[in-house]
Amino acid sequence: MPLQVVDDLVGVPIATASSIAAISVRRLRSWHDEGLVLPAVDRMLGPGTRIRLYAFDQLVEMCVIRELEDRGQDIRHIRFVTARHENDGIARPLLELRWGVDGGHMYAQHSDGTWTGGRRHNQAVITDVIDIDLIRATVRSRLEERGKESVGRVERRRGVQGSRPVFAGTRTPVATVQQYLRRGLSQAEILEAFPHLTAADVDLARGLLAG
Amino acid sequence: MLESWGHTAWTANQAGNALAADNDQSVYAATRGAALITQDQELAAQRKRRTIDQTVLLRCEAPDVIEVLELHLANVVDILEHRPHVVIEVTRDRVRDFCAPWPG
Repeated sequence: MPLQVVDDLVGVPIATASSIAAISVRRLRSWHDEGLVLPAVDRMLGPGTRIRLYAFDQLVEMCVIRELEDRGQDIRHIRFVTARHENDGIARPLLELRWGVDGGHMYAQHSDGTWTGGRRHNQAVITDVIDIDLIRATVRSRLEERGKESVGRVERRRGVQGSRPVFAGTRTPVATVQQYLRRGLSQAEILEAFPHLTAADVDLARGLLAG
Repeated sequence: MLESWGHTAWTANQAGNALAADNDQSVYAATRGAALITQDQELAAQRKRRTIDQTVLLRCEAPDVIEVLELHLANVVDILEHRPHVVIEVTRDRVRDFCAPWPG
């Protein structure tokens, strides 16, 4: 059983954030420039090497924005509304408020249960509410997920383990598992040491060793 | 093993960044005030050229890493406590530390 992602430890590069939130890297960069979703870490590591790392809550914010867009809300309007709540002292409105949409209007529910939004609250029947707990669960699951197509495959990725062959979807070098196999360790012992790998990965490493 | 010695330790998988590039891992560790423990010699070579964090390179076969690190843990921790930007190379026989001329 793979180790579970710990929300507070999450720090993923922009490409991973893009894949989890299903938003292009270009848009995420633009949201960063516009101050809509700021990465937890933004550091230049040299000419042309900019490292942006996003924390768990920022991944959730991205997904909330995407859900609002899917419900017909314009990004400029989302930015306007969130900025207004920030001015009212809510530091992370996309996380702290419960968002709903009705007839093209965007509403936010506060911790005391009251709603604010486009029309007077007693005129609106908010039927479409974004479930942030579901979004959190989905983000967590995507962070932990190793695509089925990756299992039992080897790949080389630029900038990872010196471009040496690793098990697809992981950063574990094939050579590392082969060192365990040469020592005569069993598949069960190897999978205990590398819980994110599968029996198919170990078989592949064994096959490459024999071949 | 690290936790049994009272240290906080976690893996790239627990941080959700198993797919991240080596530079991302280094910056992640640096911003967390954590030391990056690796067997990747190329990553350690990069960090020797430009030291931005604390990297511990274990130069041994994978099945031996726990034993080798445990053997030298006190020495490694002592170096980490005194040098915020450093690459520490650990083999079964010795511990060496490196720092780039212009860290950061």
